[in-house]
Amino acid sequence: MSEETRLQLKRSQASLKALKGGYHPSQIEYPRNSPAVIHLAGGEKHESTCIGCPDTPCFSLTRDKFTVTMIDGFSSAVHGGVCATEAIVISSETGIPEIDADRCVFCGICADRCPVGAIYIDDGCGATISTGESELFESVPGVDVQRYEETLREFKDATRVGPYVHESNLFLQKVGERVSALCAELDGDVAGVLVRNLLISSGFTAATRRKGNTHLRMDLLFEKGSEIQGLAEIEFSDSQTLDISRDILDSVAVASSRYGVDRTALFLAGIFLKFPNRRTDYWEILRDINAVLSLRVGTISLMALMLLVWNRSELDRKTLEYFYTDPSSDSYLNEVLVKLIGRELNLSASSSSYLEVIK
Amino acid sequence: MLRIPNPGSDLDSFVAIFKDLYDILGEVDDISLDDMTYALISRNQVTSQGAAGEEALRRSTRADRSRDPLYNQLKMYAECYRMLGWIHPTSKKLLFNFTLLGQYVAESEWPKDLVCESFLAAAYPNQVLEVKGNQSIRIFSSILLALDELETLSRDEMMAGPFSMEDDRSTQSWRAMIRFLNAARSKKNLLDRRLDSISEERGIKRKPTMENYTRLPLAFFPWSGYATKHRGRLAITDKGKLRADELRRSCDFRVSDFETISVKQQKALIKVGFYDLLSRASYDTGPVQGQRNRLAAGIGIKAGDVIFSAFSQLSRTSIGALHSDFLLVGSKSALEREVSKPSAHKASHQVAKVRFNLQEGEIPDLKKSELVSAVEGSLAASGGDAQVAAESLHGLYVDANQNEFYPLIGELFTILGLDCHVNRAGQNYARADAVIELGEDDSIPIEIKSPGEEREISIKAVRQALENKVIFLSRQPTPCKPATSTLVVGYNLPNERSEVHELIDDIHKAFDVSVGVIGLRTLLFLVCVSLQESASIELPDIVNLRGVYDV
Repeated sequence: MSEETRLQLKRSQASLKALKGGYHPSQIEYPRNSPAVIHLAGGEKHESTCIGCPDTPCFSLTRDKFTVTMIDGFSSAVHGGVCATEAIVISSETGIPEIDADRCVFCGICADRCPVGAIYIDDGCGATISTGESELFESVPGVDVQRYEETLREFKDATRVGPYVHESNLFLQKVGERVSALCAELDGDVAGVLVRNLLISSGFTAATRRKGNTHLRMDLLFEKGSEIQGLAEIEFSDSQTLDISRDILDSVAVASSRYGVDRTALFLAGIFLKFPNRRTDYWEILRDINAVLSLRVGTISLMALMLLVWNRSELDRKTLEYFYTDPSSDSYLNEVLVKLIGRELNLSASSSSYLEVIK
Repeated sequence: MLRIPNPGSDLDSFVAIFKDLYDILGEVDDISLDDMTYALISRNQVTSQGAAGEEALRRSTRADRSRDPLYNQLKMYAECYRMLGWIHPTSKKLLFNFTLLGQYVAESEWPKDLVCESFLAAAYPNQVLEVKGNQSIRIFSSILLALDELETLSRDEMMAGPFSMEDDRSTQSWRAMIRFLNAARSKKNLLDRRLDSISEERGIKRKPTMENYTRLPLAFFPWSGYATKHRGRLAITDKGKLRADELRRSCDFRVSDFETISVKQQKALIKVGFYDLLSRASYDTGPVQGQRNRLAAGIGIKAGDVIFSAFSQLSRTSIGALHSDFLLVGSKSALEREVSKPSAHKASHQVAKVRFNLQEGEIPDLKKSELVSAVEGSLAASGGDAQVAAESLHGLYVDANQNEFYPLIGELFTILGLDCHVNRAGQNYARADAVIELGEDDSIPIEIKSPGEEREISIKAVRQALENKVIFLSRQPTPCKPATSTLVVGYNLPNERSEVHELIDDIHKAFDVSVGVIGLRTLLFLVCVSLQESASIELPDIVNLRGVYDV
């Protein structure tokens, strides 16, 4: 190896703020549009603040989160960022995360991944980081892994209260439009990475195909151990909805024939930013596929995945079943979303295809 | 025009692949393209020929390496990494070692700035790449400077502008290039004519070859943040403008300058250029600042201003002769491979020769149709040679649109004695473009692709044929048996590289559905023979089609 003087990248590592001894957080409360509040076991309350995690969970994912095992050698996108639109960056000057509000799509993933509740979602300007001083924490020199892990342990069992985002028709419409605009504006597979990261937040390992890779055709694979294996095609434009069912059948044929995946055990889904219109043949074809090939194909909306993250709901075998919506059902909101989140939602019948299947 | 290969236009992957390669092969000397392939297989980074990992390698491997897709892709990656100075060729052809700069990139947790600086420092000619030609150009920097002057650049402007300059440091040439691009914006066809003439001079096609050379820059600029992509054009950002200003103020050294200075100055330039590059990429050059200033003064320049990356400009031998401490020497001579090298792959899918049998006396009475007259005329002109007649008729439909092509296919099947109906355009319920009814209890859906839609049948058509079958079985617009084929008919058969054959096999294995693919040539040939012999097609032949059929 070279004997040349090794130079170091000038990048400030945020100094870690570790929880002071004797403090035991019991709850992290997320008030609407305000910084999260940490409740201590003794009843005291303190506003949360960024502790400068050395492993930056709000910024980057570990590779194991987007490495699936169901298809050997699946070459997935290497985008390891938490934020699909790269709205969140780690400042090279301060070492702490900064968020570009214009790029935030309100997905809530960074807030969900912050171990101490220092990120909250303001429904006006998006993800916001609290960086103020807090009595709960003390600065520790260097990268003190032990103090960091102790802090994480203390917060691990703290109950999170309140959704990251309070849903409303108007807000979901705004989110949908923002996602649509940023997908068109930004380079890269924003849709694929966003869906992948939302599924990771919902408890899966998930991988998207590398952009431009024509050798593997499935858009997205996701799995939860050996219990759930899923395959999905993602469609964020309005014009290609009929391709989804064709792409799914193609992907199933390839996965089953070339990689020995048990097609009958796969959860299959089309994932949309906007629902295909009820009059399009997409819904009828799902029936046909089920009738002829005994394959059920679920329909997942981006908003459903966001609602899951905002409400910290994980998907499992049972809840995935809700996505097998009947083409004749009146309302995706009632048939899928309410069941999925397990409570009445502050959403009403809508004529927006971000929220509902329009006739 | 400069040639920059395009191994893939996702810069995150481009960098991640390099980091994976270093992670596995960083200690190895004389790394081959095969070593790189094996390394990437172990990191799930290999796909080819519709497969991933070892299967991709098996399918890609050819006795003739120049036709091996994976090998060629790795060759392109290697060329780009060499252009950036991240790997160097060793003494043997197509064997490489990592460079010190490559090591910095690979080991950095935040390599983006260093990657950007590597791109901006890349210059032609150099001792690292064997690029022939007389162009002296720092290509990515030139594109950024051109963007700064023109605000936006299209792919074509990039090709006719920075990519085609002889010397980007000649003020005269530079002004001429900018003047030309400005003029081309207001004068129709000027740009096209220039590009056609470059294409002719260099003997390379505009589409896709010349265009492919611009793919890496088109991906790099939005990724770096120096430009955004808007309606197919790059548009400079504030960050790009700032960097362009810095570039304009820098001391630009090329290999030609390096060769004219003293050995002492050469030694200094290698170090100062490297430290300056690292400094621009936010590395702390404090520990070498004194040395850096002293060396820069020795060349008569100020440290911080130099743009010269020894690793992308000079060969390993040249650097080693002046700074052996700048060379990385591996401690392993070969990578222990986890997978064995596969034997050369031969395509297992063959286009089947058509095996239709004709039965006498059942040809319908179509003697009055224009098509029958045309077929008979062609047969007469060819002296009764059905193959020649079919070929000449085939050429007549090269520009046919759906309105002409769909009824043609319907009529050809009808002449062959089959009960074929073409669906009205927009009749979506039945979905298939045509249907052959086989008595009262069976039918074959047909997906037709006119040459206007696609000249060669693609996997998209095969997918649609599968969907047609599913819809027919489910909705029964006409009765249909599961085992009966679903057809695709198009102008030309799929090209060799398409995955049509494999997808047909996959669909059969997974769903037990048979997809048959027939080209127009085959149908015309059958019709010629059918008319010559007054015979129709035997039903079992068409019912059981699976795969691609040719005359």
